Amino acid sequence: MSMLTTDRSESIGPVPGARRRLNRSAIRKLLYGDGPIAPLSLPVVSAVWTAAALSALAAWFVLYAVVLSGLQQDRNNSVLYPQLREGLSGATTPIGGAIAPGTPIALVSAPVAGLSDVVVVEGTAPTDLRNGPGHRRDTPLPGQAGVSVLFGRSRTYGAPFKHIAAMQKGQSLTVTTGQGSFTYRVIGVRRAGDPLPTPLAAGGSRLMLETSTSTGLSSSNTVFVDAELKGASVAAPPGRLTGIPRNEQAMGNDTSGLIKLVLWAQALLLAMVAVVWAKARWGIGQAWLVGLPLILAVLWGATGNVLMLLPNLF
Amino acid sequence: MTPRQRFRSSLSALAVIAAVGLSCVSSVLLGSSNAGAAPASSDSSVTKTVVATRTHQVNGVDVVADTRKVSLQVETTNNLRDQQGISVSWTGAHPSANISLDPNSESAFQAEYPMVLLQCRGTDSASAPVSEQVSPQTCWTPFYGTRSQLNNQGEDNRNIDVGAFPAWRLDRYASQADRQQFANEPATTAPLCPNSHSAAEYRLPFRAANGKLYYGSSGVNSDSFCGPPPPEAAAHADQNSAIDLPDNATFAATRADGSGSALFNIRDNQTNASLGCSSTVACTLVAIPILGISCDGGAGLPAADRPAATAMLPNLPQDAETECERAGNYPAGSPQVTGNPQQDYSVSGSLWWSASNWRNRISIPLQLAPPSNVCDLVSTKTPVNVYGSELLVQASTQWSARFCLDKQRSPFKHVQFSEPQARNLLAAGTIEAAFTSYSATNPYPTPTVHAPVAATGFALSYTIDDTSKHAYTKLRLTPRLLAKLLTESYPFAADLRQMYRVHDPYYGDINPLKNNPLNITFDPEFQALNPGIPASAADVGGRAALLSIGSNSDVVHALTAYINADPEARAWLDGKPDPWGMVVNPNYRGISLPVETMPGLDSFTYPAKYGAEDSCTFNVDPPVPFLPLVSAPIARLVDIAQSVQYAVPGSQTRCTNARNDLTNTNYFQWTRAQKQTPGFRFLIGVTSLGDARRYGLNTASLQSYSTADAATKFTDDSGRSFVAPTDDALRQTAALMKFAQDSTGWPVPYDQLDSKAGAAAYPGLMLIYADIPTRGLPAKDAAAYAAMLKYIVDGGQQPGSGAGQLPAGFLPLTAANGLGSLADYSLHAADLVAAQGGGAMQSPGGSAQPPVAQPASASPSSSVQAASGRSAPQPTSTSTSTVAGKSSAAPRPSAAAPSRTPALRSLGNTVGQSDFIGRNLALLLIALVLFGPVAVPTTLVIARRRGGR
Repeated sequence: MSMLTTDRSESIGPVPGARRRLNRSAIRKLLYGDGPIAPLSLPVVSAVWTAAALSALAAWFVLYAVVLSGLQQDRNNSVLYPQLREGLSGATTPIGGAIAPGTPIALVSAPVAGLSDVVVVEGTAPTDLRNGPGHRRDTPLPGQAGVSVLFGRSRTYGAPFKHIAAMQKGQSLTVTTGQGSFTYRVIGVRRAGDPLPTPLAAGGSRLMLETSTSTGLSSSNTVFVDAELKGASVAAPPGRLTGIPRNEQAMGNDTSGLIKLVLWAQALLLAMVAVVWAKARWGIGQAWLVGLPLILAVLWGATGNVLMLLPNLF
Repeated sequence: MTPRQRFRSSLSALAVIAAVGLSCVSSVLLGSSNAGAAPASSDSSVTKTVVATRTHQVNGVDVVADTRKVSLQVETTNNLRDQQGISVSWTGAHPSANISLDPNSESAFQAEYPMVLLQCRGTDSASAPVSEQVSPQTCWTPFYGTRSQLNNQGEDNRNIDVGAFPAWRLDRYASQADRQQFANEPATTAPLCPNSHSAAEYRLPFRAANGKLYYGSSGVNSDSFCGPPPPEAAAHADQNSAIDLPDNATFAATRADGSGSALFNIRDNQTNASLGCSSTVACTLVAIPILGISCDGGAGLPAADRPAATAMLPNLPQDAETECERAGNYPAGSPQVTGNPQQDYSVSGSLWWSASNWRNRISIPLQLAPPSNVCDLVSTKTPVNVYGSELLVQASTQWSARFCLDKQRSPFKHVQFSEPQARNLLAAGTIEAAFTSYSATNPYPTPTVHAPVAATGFALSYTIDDTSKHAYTKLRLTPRLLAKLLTESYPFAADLRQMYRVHDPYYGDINPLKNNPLNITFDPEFQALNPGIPASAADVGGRAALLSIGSNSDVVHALTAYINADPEARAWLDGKPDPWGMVVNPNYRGISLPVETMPGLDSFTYPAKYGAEDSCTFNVDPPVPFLPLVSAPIARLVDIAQSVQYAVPGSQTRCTNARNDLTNTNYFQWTRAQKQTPGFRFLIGVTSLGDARRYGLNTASLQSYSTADAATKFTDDSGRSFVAPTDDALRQTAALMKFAQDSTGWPVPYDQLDSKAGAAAYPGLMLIYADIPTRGLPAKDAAAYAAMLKYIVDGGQQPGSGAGQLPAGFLPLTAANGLGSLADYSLHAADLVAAQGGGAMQSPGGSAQPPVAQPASASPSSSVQAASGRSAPQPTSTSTSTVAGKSSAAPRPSAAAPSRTPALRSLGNTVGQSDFIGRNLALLLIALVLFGPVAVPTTLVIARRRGGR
């Protein structure tokens, strides 16, 4: 600690004569004229850095939520794809009963909604929906008699269901499960307050896609797309769940990851301390070179956990 | 959003902000290394008396061993329906011993001197053709041991070896053919027919309605016992199956004074096709008071085949006669010995078919009603459909039978459906008429009459055994007790009660249920009102929750309105502990009633991997909220009635290990609890009054009026009046109802019930109305509906069990009952329906109003098209269906077909989940992103200016 303190006193503010970039000095000149530049006081420097860091962090969060988490989802989904392929060819993909959450169970394609061969996983907890659209565990699998429900995110993690509300009546969407390929015809898009579709005929199969509205800054609401199976439904093995925990329901979130988040934050703190230490030892360039990837990696993990606190349909 | 959800969301939002803040602090460190972060009507009661005798023949002389004058009364014998419970009582019979608690169980026949009640095909009349006569072969008792007698050498129950001469061979009244050593063996040689290990064998085949003979009997491997049993036999009805119908063969106990009673369950040919009873195939209730075999020591046998002493069995003739003349090993009233009871064979239920017992029988002809699907069978006309109220099923079944049996009338069909959904469908024009108990919340787009058709109600039916293991019949319930059962406030199990936690914003994790009784039998309030019911933690499912209806229903609305109107119950729901300290489950605290469906709100789960390794708490991953599994409501009222009838709790708390053949893996799942053990039953369910009467269920008395101090503990019912659902009590309630202009109906005034005036009024009364549009129906349909309405309020209010009559559990809408104005109102409504002029009802006796202006979308032509062109909704079930036995697919609770219908399958409007986190977070992020670019230059400029000064 003592080393840090001494270190700090030496390196406060831009010392006159230190390496300065041309543009920076030009701006200074523009702002203050040619007078001598006095060193800034410690509180000012702290305030400036805090403000800049807050903004940078917020920007990072937005970047992660909108872009980087999409990469993450893309990667996860691509890993699941061969798993599902193997399961389908070997007929080992589960088709009913109690399926472990996270298991890839189906492939969904809806060109109009921008879905092409997206792997659907079992379960609708926020952690499951990181990997792609999720299938609600208390509903039958697609193709089986009854209403099966798929949840998907509309803003983060690649936003697979971002465009489902654009689907039109009559358009088709295809789901491939361990029991074959099923083509559904869209009945319509529903929002809160709209009448529910007519009850399903016995033995009929319906697919319901659910996500959140993703427009503007208004409060988000759930939006549904119903699609009815063309052709006959298939048999369903017994043993489906009859209820699901709250974090798997629509707009549910997962607070169980809070502990992990605290650990990630601590890791971030440690990484920072290490970088600060490195700067004092090695110099600023070296510290950035080594520290930036480390910080980014830890930030990546931490932000992923923050996103789990958001509703699962985001 | 409920307050709880809102709290959670804001908590998460806070967490997000905190996390962002925390990261900010750390990145400040990074960025600047130099800074710091009612009773049924007995219209067809029958009583018969017989003198039963047991007379041995000793050395050619008659020796009367026993004579009894048995008198048997059957409460109702006309218009019986499938699974109807009919009450049978008798006097003068021989007291029973070695009694099974369950008279329908597979081992009940082992009783000594039971009263055997059997449903047999045929009539007991010598003048009938032989094929239509009753005989033991046409009587339904598929239990092994009541049909096949395999008498093994040296294995007689009393350990006296009678060789090849069991009691039935010494039966002096039996024919020679029935006294052979291997009697009635099947002509074809089936394996083990006769069984080579038996010294003597008697086979009593069952002759099915189609003529097929079944030599097998249930409960055993069919192949090794002379062929398969009839397909309808309940193989293991007692223990392992939740919903299989038990066989109706009854081996009932006679008390020490010679009297006894039983509830006999009728089966028609839909449930038991092999037995084949129907309105056209006559059947008989045969009651056999077992007195024992009248023995002749073998004198009637051919000389070569009489018991004779051998070297092995020197006393065979005497021993065989002694065994045959035995008169009981156990004292009267003794409970059944488990394991290997030593009952005296000659007086046990095994030999009910023997000539000595059969000759003492009492035969009561049974007249079954036309089946509930009679309209599908006889009528060629397309019926008009009325969707809605399950309460009306018993009445509408009888009414519609009358309509379709009459060629002049056009039939109607009552499709059982959730009432709120029926109202929505009617408003949407998808259906043409609805039976419902409340008026629509939003007025119908088309002028519609709301015409009363029946006065009935809900009943709290129960099957409860008291401390002496007999049926308890005096149950009394308060609204607060019902509230406790409906709000998941009984913690079910001791470990759950100990571990239960909810998060409180002020106190952190708390356990509000820690002082609540485990279940209702431990509740001092319940014990005070219902003395004599043992407190038990066994079969808890039925004790911790009310078996309620899961779909949206007007019944739940009425029930919760009744609870809501009671100050004690309401205060308790709002968080005030009862005098003994029991509090409401915090998830339900302050719940707004009435509701159409009681939500399962508790979210407590056992921790992951909790409990034994083969338990569901350990294996079901992730754990599911547990208390909703306990309350597990059932989708339909009639299923609740039958669950109460057979004491099958609805709770999904049984753990089963099933195998997934597709993935070759075993998995654990929560399934429905088992049928409860007779003698220890406890189950209370919400049923319709009509179903309760039809199935012979006990119905609870409900508290109507209380002057007792709400804050003090009580030990008896002083100050509280309880009302049973009798016709009289319904009449009292009806007298309090007044026509309400705003809701166009006669609402039940719950606030008045809780007053002195309503002290004798039954609070469960519900009126059922027919909602039928007066514009836009096709003329033919309109005429049919009008005729239906006219008939219902006129001829259809005659009490009785025949076609077109009003069954028990319904109060006739007549002037004598103070309901004449309702009938008049409906007659007038029928005219409006027939006219289809868009007329609206004003008030009782009022005249038709001119048609009101309608929005363009509800123009007559479009609504007609909607009604005919749109696909009809999928009914919950039609009135033709009952819980079927083996002959058709029985509804079986399984996870694949959850009894709790998911909300997303219901009709109505889409319910969305909105969330404000997104907006708030977006605003925060935008602010933060902009903060830096604005704040940094500003700070620098200010600092420079100051520094420059």
